[in-house]
Amino acid sequence: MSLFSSLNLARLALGAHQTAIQTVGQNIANAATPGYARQRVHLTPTPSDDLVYARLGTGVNVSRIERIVDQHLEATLRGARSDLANLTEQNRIWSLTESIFNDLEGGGLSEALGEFFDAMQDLSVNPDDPTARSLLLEQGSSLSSTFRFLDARVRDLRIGLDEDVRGEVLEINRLTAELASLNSAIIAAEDGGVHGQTANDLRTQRDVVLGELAERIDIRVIENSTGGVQVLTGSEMLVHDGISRDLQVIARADGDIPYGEVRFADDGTLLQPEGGRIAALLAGRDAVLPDLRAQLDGIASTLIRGFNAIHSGGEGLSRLTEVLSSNSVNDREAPLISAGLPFPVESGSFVLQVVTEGNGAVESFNIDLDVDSMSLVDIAERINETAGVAHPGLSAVVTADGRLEIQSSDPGVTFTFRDDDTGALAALGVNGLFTGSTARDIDISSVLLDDPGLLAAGFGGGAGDNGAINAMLALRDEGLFAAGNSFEGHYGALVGEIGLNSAEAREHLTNQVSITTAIQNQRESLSGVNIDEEAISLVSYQRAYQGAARFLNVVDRLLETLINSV
Amino acid sequence: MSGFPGISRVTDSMVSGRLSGSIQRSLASLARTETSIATGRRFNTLGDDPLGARRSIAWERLLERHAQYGSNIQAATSRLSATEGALAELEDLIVRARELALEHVQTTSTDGMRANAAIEVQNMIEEALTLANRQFGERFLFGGDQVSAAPFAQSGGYISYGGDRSPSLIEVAPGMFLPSGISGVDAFGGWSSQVSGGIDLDPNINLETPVASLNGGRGIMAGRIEIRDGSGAAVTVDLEGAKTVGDVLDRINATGFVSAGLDVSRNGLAIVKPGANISITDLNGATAARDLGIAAAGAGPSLGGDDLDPIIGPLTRLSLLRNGLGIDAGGFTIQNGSMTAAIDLTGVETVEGLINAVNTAGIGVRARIGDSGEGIELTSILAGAELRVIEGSTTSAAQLGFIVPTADLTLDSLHGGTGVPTVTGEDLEITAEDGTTFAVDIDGAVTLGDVVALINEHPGNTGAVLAEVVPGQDRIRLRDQSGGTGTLSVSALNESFAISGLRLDGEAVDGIIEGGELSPAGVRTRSAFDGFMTLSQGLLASDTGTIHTALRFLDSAHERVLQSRAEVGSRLRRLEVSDRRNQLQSFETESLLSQEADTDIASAIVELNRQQTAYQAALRTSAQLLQQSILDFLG
Repeated sequence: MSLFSSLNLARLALGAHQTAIQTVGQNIANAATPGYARQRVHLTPTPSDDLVYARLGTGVNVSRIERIVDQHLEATLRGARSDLANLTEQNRIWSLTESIFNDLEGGGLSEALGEFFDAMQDLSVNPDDPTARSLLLEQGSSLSSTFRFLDARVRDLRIGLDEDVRGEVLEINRLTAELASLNSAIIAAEDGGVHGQTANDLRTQRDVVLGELAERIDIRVIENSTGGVQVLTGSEMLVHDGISRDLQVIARADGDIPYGEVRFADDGTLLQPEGGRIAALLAGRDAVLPDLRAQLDGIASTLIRGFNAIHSGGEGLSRLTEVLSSNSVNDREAPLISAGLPFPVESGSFVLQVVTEGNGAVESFNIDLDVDSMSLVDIAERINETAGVAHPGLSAVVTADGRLEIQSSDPGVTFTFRDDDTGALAALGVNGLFTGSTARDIDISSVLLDDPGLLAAGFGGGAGDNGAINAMLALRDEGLFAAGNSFEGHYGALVGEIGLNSAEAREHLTNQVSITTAIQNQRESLSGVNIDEEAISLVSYQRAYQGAARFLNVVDRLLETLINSV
Repeated sequence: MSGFPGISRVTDSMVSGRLSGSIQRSLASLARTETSIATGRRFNTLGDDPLGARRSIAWERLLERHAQYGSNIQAATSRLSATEGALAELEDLIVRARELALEHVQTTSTDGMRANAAIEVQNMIEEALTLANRQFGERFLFGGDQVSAAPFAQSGGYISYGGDRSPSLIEVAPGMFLPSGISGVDAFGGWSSQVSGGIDLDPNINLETPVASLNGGRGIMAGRIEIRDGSGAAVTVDLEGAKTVGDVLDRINATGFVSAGLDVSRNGLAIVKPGANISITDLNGATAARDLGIAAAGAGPSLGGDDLDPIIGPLTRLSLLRNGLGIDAGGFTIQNGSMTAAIDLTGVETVEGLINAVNTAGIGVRARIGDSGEGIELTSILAGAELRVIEGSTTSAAQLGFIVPTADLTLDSLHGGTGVPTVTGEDLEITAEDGTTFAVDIDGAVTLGDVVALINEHPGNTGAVLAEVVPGQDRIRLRDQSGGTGTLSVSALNESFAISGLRLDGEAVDGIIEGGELSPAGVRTRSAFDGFMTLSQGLLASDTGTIHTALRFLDSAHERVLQSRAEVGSRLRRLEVSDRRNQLQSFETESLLSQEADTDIASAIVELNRQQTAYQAALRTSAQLLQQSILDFLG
């Protein structure tokens, strides 16, 4: 024992408590830092001296500075945050979808179709009234533009989500790169754990980045013995120690809509995330919205087909002198069944009825149709061979772009169609009410807009004949859709499902918020900083420091006494 | 214990986190409540109440539909009321005309008085024409579906009807259509009755015959059938979607199991398999085999199907009619009033061709396929004209059912409808050349055929005299077959005028008394116009017979207008009932919608106050909690 060893003790005490105070200061400074884990100084007495008769203490040491963190809890919290981000995104997507289909506000598809049928009722009461005709065509245009509008908004939303996906990919790449460099830094700093140190602040930083990454994509984190971590998503490696794998977006198109496929840049493996924000975005972009669009298309095409099938066999205030099909075949020589028509056709026949306006003579020409062997060219020929021979002014051709055109060069010879049991007239769009076949291209026939007198209200019974209109009105309650649903039933189910999904998403989100908050609180309880607590620690370490300083003072006096006595 | 369950150590961030969380939640609730008060709706997005949203959208649509039906009912009611007005005026005219007719048929009337009455009747025709062409808005009321042109018009001394018989259906409830008008046919007698009672033209089937036209137009209930050959083997044929008879045969023949073809004589299908015992049954509740007449058990190697009884359509070939016998190519003549037209059937192959030939002849005669689909109807659209069909060189008109065979002419229709007068007891006595005499009582005979039978089968007529209908002409003749040396003669008994009615008042030449032309009446519209025009003619000619005929026409016109008025009345009542029901349903729907979707303002405001209080409390406590820390108390 010597006084110098006491000096050493004082020195050690001062140093240790200075470190402790510094650590408290670090905690206080980072009290509001999100993701910060408080650090605690471990003080241990230094090895004692052996005095034979006693062991004498030699001082205090900071054995380590511990980061108070539970890796399991951190992992659980990351998972919860990942789910929360996923559900928040789902909620946002359903909210946007709701606003597109919000028939509660008015101006939705349900109301537009209702107004169309109302205009049809008015026309059925006064089929000869030109105002009623124009009104029906107007409502039809309005209905068509509602379809197109909804389709455009769904499309826009899908493109918006696609942009969000690209943004997420950039972010994920940035975060994985940062993780890789943090890993390298931690590995270097901890040096294989040789000195038993942990790079506390670097690790805290890394935990923060891992948390951010988890919000974007579902990950599993495995710590390596080197101190670095492996980050996996599914079975794919994202980060391993100092190496990170980038994602890239490959441009694709789904019909007319562009979208980006997310793959790993190095080996092209498709990314198939199951959680995090990106999974919700991808599910919305690739499943929910295309399904909605397909449903809209289904509704539009069923309506077009239903109305056109009736209208093509009807008669307006005047009969036809020319007609051009609104749909075309992709191969004029191919059998009709495989010629690329938007609606199905089957074999049977239709009647081309030719009227000599002068004396009112009516001639019916039966056109047999075998859809497995006859092409559009064959149909035109058949018409020419029968009606065309009896009335030389009547001719049928297939135009250069694959459409059927029938013309009567003599204005005194007109024609109409009847009894089509093949569906070909509707599929071709001959004398139709609507043109197009999807929600994107549906429109009222421009031929009718130019001449409302051609709107077929009846079946040839005269200006007051409302037979065709009544048949079209009957479509409203007919089970045209799946499970025998009428339009209103089917659309109601669609809208109802959107509502249910939205409500469900909200509920899940609310639950997840509670769950995440609870886990967050658990984590905070363990790793968070309580300023009052730190302030108390500060005071006690300060006292100890003061004590040590006092002790140093005393030892110094002792030394002085000793030296002065020599 | 801390306020955080299961946690004993509380940090600052936990406390601040919780405080800001509860403030957020308060604000969110407040916003929702405010929105529901401001919009008056309990839910504003689909997700707020998915089932409620779906229901309320459906009810909004239903309300709109009810409003639309209300407007339809309104239009129909107005239209029918206007119709009723015109019909009432027509009835007045008819009643007045009857009065005039009764007055001037008396001998107390003079030529001068009758001439004046004729002028009044002429004015009635003008008035009736105006009534018949009455409009409601832009729409002619009595043309059926021909609403944009006046349905009745003067045409060469007659009045033609250019409309149809459509009742102008309007929808007043889902799937429920009510007539909103009465056509000129039902109100004014625009069409005459058919030229003769319809006959069944009984077309044969061929491969193109549509399946839908079989069984009198009922078609078949398509499905799957099973054919067994008695050896245990069987095949199933799916007939769903077969469009023509040819399709059906193709599908059965495609199995290669049996041979299927047409049995022309039975007008059905024939299923054949040599050496087999054919049985055919229906599967799964459809009735295709039964409807095709081929359902059978153990029919042997050859199964003959029943008559498929198809209806005729525009494209039915004339050669298939009358069970394949077709129609003779020689034509016939149609007489309508003072106009005639020769209808030539050479080159006419289909029913449509025949209809066109008649309709384009320009004599006011319409041909159409009858409602039953069995025959062709010929009617006149000219009031005042009499429609008759006269056979040509062949019997095509009779084959088509346009001519009543002479033997079937009723005695009442002879002489333009005047008929044959008979007395109780015997009407005439016939004496043959060999002296055989017998007396005949015409009473009880309805047709000329009956008269001929009465003469030929008379017990006193022992083959001495043969009465017969002259082929192709509207008269009868008596032929002596007794081979005597006297003179065949007929004399009246009991002061009966039957002999002159039967036109047997000529002298016998070579043992034959040729009867005179019996002038059966053609068909007429028997409408008000017919009545007025005939009355006018009768008055001007001072011909009481014509005036009597006019009275008969006026009677039938009166009957018709009464029936129409009753019909209109009943339709108006039905519309009223529909209107009431529609309004009731509308009220119900509205209240359902309101209950579902409307905000209960009173309770929402109470809720709003509560939430505001909670919000303020949260703010105040947050402020207090966040301010305190030990640092305030340390030196």
